[in-house]
Amino acid sequence: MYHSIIVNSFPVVGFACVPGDELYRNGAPMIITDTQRKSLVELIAIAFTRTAASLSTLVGAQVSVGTPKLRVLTLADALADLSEAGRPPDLAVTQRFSGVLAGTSVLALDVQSAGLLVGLLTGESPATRLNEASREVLLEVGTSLLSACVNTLSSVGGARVSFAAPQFYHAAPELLARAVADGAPDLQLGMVMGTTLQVRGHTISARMLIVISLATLDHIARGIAPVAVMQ
Amino acid sequence: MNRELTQLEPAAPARPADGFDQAILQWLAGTTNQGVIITDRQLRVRLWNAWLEAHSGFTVDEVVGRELQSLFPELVRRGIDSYYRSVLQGNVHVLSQRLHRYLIPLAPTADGDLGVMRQHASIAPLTAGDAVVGTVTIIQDVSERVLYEQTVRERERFTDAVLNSLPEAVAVIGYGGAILAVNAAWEQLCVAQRELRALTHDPGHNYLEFCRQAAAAGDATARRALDGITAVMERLLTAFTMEYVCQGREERWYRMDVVPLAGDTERVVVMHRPISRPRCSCSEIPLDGR
Repeated sequence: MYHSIIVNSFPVVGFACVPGDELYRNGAPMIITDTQRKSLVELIAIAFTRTAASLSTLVGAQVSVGTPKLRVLTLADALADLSEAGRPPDLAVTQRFSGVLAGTSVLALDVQSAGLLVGLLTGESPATRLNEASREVLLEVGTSLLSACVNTLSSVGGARVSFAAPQFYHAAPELLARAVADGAPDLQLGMVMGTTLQVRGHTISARMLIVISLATLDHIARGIAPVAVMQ
Repeated sequence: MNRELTQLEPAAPARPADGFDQAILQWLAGTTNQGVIITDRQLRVRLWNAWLEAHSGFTVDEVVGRELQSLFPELVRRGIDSYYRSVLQGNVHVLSQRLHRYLIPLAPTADGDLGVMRQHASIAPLTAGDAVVGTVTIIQDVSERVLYEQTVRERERFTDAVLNSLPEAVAVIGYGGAILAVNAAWEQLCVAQRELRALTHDPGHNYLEFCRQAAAAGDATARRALDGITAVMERLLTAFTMEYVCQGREERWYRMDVVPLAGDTERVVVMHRPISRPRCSCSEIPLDGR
């Protein structure tokens, strides 16, 4: 299915596609091939494994993060894709990054999954309501996962990024939507990653969104090719 | 004033020398109600603010120029140094109290048995242009909050223990009929009797709806229960009691009591307990208590 948007007066077509995500600029296709996508997923999975290992040491229990499923969509579709059954995510951790690669990363969870995750990480019973202490745990874990992911993207592009302080959004989808794109009209694309966290025998679903510009996607795509060849 | 402040000035972006940046640094060093540590790339302390002086026992003179790891060897033992190394690569880290308890050992600020001050910390790179020239750590004292949460948890545990000690099956029903809380006897009753499975404490389970459906199917007892609960919920009655029989392999009698939740304007407490034989079928206590 195609969703057309206009960016800087030229048509852009973004779609969740198999085998390749294609984005057209000035009529010329800019393609993330299936190989590039697989390479990217593999690299992100490695970064997640490292993050999971750190979390395992920290909480004293095995933590693993599932291999993400990656799709590249227009920003509007990507935000809609964060919703579960048409319902926007209950809460999100966001972090802006800047440099050669620029954008905003988002980890979205529903409140039940978040409560379960906090309970499993802290070894306590699942939190039925998210108090400040629980939000801080989610902020810590979310920041680790998001920065691992963005660092992977920046490393394939051979670039370094700077991170802003992470933010927490609770039951505020409008604020979240504004936060990911506000003040940066060039951020038009979203890399959506569905993943799972396994902690103490439980599996928790989470969605991640990396909001980026066409230029950033272009940079990443060009960076992936040599990596794919090396593999 | 922190004597190292002037050495940090070259790191600031090129802006008019209006003293604004210096004023911010002075505020961080002397006024803010949070701990602020600024280090260079070797993690040597360059700024140690007044808040930290007050809570750590270390003066500025004792810490400036020394490595964080040598001041607090436990940072290495607890793996916290890896966060600092990551920050020097450009990452930002949040260290939550629940997972770490504290960043550096500081004197307790709240009554109780917390041992050390409980802290929420953020560590971020200090950048000059594209280069990371050091780290900035912000520490918040969350001891009072931790103690409050402990008190709430203990109170909840105590309340649960009292409720679970009762032989009666007890549930708190919200306005509209949602089952908000139940005790162990209630759960056991619902699990033991298949027809009551819909009354376990799960999201979406609704006591009034359960009674309404049974009443619509011709169950007169459910109709009486529905009317009684609704009347107490609307505060038309101060209590409602009824005795009823459950037909199974053998006849079992129960008594249901419905009372308003103390201090609440809508919710009610429903209790069921087995009785040996019926005394009266139903009683209602009107608002005036007669």
